[in-house]
Formats: sequence, C-alpha cells, structure tokens
Amino acid sequence: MNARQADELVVDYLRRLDAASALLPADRRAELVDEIRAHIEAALAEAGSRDETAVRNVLERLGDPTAIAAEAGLEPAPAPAPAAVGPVPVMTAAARSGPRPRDVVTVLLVLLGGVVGLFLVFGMWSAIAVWSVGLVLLWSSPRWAVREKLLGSLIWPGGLLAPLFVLFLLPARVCTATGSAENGSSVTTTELCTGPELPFWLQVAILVIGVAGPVAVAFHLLRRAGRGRSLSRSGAADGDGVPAAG
Amino acid sequence: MEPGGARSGLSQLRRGVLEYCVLALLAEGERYGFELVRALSEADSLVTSEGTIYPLLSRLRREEWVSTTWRESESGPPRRYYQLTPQGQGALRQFTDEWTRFRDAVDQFLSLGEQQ
Repeated sequence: MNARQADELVVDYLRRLDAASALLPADRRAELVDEIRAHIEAALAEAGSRDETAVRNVLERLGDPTAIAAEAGLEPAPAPAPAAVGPVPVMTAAARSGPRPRDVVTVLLVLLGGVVGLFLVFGMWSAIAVWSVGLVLLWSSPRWAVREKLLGSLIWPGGLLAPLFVLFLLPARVCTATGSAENGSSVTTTELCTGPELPFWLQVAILVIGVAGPVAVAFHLLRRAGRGRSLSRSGAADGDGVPAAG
Repeated sequence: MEPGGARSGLSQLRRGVLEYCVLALLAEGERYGFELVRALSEADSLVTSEGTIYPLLSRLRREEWVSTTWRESESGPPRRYYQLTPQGQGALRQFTDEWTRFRDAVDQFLSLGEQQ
C-alpha cells in the first residue's frame, strides 16, 4: 500500500464520520469533521510518517467514527428550547435587548426636555415642567439604581438647559457711564457695572463641562438600561423582572 | 469483557469526569486540540477513544467554560487553541472540592469490600 492509498484511508474515515454525524446541526457537524481532520494531520506529523501503519495507528486511537458521532449526538444541542434551562436564557435575552422605548424617552426628556420646554408657550416654566416629566419617568422606572437616578437628576438639573442658562440667561454685564463736564475742558466719567463678568475661557469651559456632563450621563443611563436589569420587583410592567439567581 | 451494566456505569463516570480533566489541563495553560487529547489519552483508562473528546470540547466551548483562539503554527495549518474561561475556573474549583469528598466516600466503601 502506498502513501496515496494510506491517504485514502483518512478520506474514507472522514467520510464515514461525516455520514454518521448527519443528524447534527450543520455547523457542529462541519466543526467535528474539521477537528478530527486536524487531529489526524497533527498525529501523522508527530509520527513523522504517513505510511499505512502510521495512519492505521492514528485512526485506531481515534476510534470508531460512529462512536464519535454518537458522543456528539449525546451532547445537548445548543438550547433553542428555552424551557430546558430555566431563567438563565431569559436574562440573556433581556441582556441583549438594549434600552426600550420608554428608557430612551426618559433619557431624552431628562437631557433635552428643559431646552425643548424653553421654546414652548411658558418659556422657563414649561422648560421646568417638561424636564420634570423626564425626572418622574426616571425615578419611577425599575431599570436604574438610585445612584444612576441621582446622577441623571443632578448632572445637571435641567439637562442641557443648565449650560444654556448659565451662558445666555445670566444677566449680562452692563456698564453705564455717567459723565459730568467741569470747566468745559476736562470730563470726569464714572462707570457703573452690574452683572457678572465671565472671561471667554470660562464661558468655553462652562459650555464644555455643561454639555459633556449630561450627554455622558445620558449615555451611561442608556447603557445601564440596555443591560435589562430590573432593580425593583414591584411595578415592573416589563417582562424581565427576573432577579439574578444567586 | 466487563458486564454490560458496569461498563455503561464506568463510561458514564468517565464521561462525567473527563470534562474536569480537560479544565484542569487548561488551568496550566492553553493547548490546541491534539495536545489536549494526547495528554488525556496518555493517562491510563481515562479515554477509550481519542475522537470522542472532540464533541466534549465543543460542548465546553458552547457552555463558555473554555474559549478558543486560532493561532498560526510553525508547520501546517492554523491551530485552534483552547483556554480556560473564568466560568471554567469556577466549575473546576467546585468540582475539585466535590471530587475529593466523593472519592473518599467511594474509597471507604470499596475498602470494606476488599476486607471480606
């Protein structure tokens, strides 16, 4: 028997393995045959020979292909049947579900509600009202821990309204000069200023911190909500109120 | 020839224990399939046919007790390396505790049988 015929033995063995594992899901069947093929190659490389004796020895140690396929069949299939495994896949499914519409609305209201409200009929009052709706949704949701709710409420109150408020709604610095003429030649002027004076760099800093803070918190809240945790068991209208086991 | 019942009982026992031997081997460091299988089959009486270890490896990977990485080899095609995951470490620790007590209990009864 020459090397070519010895290779035929391998091909035949793999063909029998493939046929015997016909009932496995296609990906597991292909994986199994690939792994066994790689094993045969590695074993022959280690033996340093591809003659009939070496090949037969390797195949013998591997065992009957039908026994391998049977062993693969005994392994439980990767569960599409959820009942078999209990609450674990429920948690997994929830973990991948991402934030829900209500979570997104809540975070958007907390972040932007103030700014949007500002342009509604009552100006500042509607700004506070719309932001407060976001707050109520935030605090009544089971999806966030108290720490996260505090973050959402305090950085910054009003969301993106806060930096706007600081920059544009603070009373501007106003200076009025009053002068009095004396002797028709020299003029004494007195300057009276009201309102804070903000240097340009400070205005930029406030804008950056003021905008970055609530935006970062909003992303954080969405990410936490996306994990599908449900922190209070009561009032959880959502289906994933399953406390983690253990 | 072993009696049928004992044989099937033994093969059940092997099957149950083998996966923890895989985890214990991987606790030392990653290995590729062939290395892993040879190390196991060189232990006396643990493995009856090397091929049956591969379905087990596949299940350990699906259960995320091991993870795999493809690496180039100096000779031949890339190899699939198996590593222990933190879950796998946990399972191994738990089994090691249980096994010690289990083995002691079984030994205790088997030694009774030998004295007769």
